[in-house]
Amino acid sequence: MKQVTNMCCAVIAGLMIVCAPPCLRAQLIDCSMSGSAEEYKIYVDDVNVPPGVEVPKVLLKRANLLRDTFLRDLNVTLQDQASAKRCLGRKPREKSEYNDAQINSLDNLRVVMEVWGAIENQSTGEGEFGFVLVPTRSIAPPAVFVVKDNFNGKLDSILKRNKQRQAFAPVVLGTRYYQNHKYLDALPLLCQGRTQLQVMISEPESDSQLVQRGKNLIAKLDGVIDDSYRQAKTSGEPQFAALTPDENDRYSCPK
Amino acid sequence: MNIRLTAVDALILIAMTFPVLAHAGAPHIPCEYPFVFSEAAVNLVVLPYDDSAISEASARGSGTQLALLLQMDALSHILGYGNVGAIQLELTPGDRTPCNVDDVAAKILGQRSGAQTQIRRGNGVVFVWGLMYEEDDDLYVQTYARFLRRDATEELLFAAGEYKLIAKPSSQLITFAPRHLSKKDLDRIEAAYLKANVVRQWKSDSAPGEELHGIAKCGGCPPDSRPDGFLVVDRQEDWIQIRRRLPNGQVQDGWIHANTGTMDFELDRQLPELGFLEGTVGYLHSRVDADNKREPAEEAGRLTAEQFATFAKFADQNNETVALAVAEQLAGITRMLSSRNYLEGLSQAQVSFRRARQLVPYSPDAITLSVATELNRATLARNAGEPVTIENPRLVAQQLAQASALAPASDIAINNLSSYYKVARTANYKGDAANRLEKPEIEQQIQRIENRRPPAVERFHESDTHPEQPRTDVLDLKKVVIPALPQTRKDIAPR
Repeated sequence: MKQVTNMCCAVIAGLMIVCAPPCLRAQLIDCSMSGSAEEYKIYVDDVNVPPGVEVPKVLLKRANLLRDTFLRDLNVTLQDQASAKRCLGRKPREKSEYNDAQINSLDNLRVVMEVWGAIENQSTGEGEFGFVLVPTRSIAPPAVFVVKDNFNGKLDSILKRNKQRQAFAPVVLGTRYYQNHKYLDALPLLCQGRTQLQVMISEPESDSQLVQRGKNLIAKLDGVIDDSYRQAKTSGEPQFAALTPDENDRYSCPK
Repeated sequence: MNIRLTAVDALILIAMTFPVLAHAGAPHIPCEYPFVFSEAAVNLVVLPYDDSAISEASARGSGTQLALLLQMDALSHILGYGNVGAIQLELTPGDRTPCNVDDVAAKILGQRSGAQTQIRRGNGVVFVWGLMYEEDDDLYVQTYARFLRRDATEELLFAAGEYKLIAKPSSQLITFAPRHLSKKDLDRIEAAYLKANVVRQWKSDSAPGEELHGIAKCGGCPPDSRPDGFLVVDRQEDWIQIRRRLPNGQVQDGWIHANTGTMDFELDRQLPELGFLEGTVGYLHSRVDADNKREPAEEAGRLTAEQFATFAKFADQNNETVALAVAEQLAGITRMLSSRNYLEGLSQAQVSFRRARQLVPYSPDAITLSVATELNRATLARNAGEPVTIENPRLVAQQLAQASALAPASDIAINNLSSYYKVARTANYKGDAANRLEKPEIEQQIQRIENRRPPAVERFHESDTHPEQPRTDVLDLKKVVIPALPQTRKDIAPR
């Protein structure tokens, strides 16, 4: 009997050892700065590194700098529209962790975007930035937007691209207002986001996948913007009565 | 009796001794108890750059050193405006609380206690802060700025026919693009810092001199051994003549070599935001003058335009479009307010406003500023007794409608649209026939606006409702008389 018990324990312990890394990988801990229930939030996660290898300090410092400047810039530019939260210890291992349940959970917490950085190869500095654009999953799925970059590259160029990627913030906020039928609130953010997104994908050094997905997102946003103007016209707000569609029967942001 | 003054006492004493400041500079003011020159029309307040990411061995307080250098360099460029101050804040040794711009602003704007002195109502202030990062031979700098006048609005009134449109710059909070400097530049900053920090007996780098004082250079000094601040009484080329008050109460004159960039470190070129900050001081100065019913000096307007042009020349054209757009707007407004020939100034401003609109097409303020000045020009361009002539009036209506659509919580934006329709009601039209506005349509739009309900918006977008804060009426300031308008329909209606 004792032998059976010992064997069971050994089997369970063995299973735990085998299972532990993937189980841990699959778990995203809650953000350490949850924020208020009313405010829209952007989660900025910790930097992810390959398990079991020593990552050069300079790469880690760079990744942390990019995270901190992203966080700081967002809080300066968003002001009272949303709050960027630093999530200590939270770091997804892979984008598949953002399944429907996870994204719904973010949505329920009024999290409109989650951002993370990951160093994938400590020797070459290859890595990625991930953006979970929660509200856009219904208009331009999937919600996760991964951008490849190299942390060993020219830092001023990486910093500039990092700044350009803040274009996602007005895009997700505007889309969220649109989905909440707050068309008047949605339009300023959608127009700002569209302009900034266009700048981002026009950058010569942009990742080709990012450019393609960015173009797709802009095309979808144009539809959302057109519909927002049409819906706003039905609100009876007089300024919309003066606006007319273009020759393609589309409403668009000022150019 | 031996009376010893603390740094605070002495700064206050300086402010009292020299109530009408020409220019003033105060380096090394502690963040916790910020100080400004209350009498100065505009203060430039530079916070220490967060250099916590710099490796310990080479850091040597570079963030604080850079802030001092910025303050000194900026001060040397804003002397032409007169009555300005530049303050450099720094952390007290051992203080681990970061120097937070919101805390500093709340204190010197009187929203919270803790400031040694406050910005006077109506006077301007520019806050500058940022972060530094160093890696091998490279240094990266990211700067932020915010500008405002205490208890004053940046809105301006533009006459359009017998109505007035309200417009303002697109933003008062600026994020600049990251800048890259080399380690050599950092060393030059250090060298320039040392030069900037020395008061010399005459204007020569070889003249006997001593440090103003410095926390970075004088850790552990007792507070009352530090000098207390200084006034700038003159400028000759790159040299600023200062008068400082020592802790023993003595007044001492000396020279500081500012703007060392012309010698060995081109700070303006490598940190173009300096041009923006200096131009912003000029803009705020012109607004303070205008609020006091003084027409800003044309030379000052020209200097402001040059400083913003320097910024635009070296700025990152793709990654700081808001900063570039606001620079165009502030330069345009200053030119308009300071130009002896209003129409000439307006014409130059319109070019700036159009460029700003192209940079930030989604900004309702950029649209309004551009359209309002076009209508203002049309109002002034006609002969007495004639109605205003509007080119493509339907397009103008759509632009103001877009401005209102992009600022849904703004009563000002919808009122601007209403005022425009009222001007268009009696205007002459030119341009494409398809862009005409018919009278019944105009009446219908005016009626719609008058019957409008308060907008149902989730967020409160902007502080556009400050009836207690007077707006600058541009034509009143410039004493420009609008040619007589035709009698309104109501006036000529048969009794």
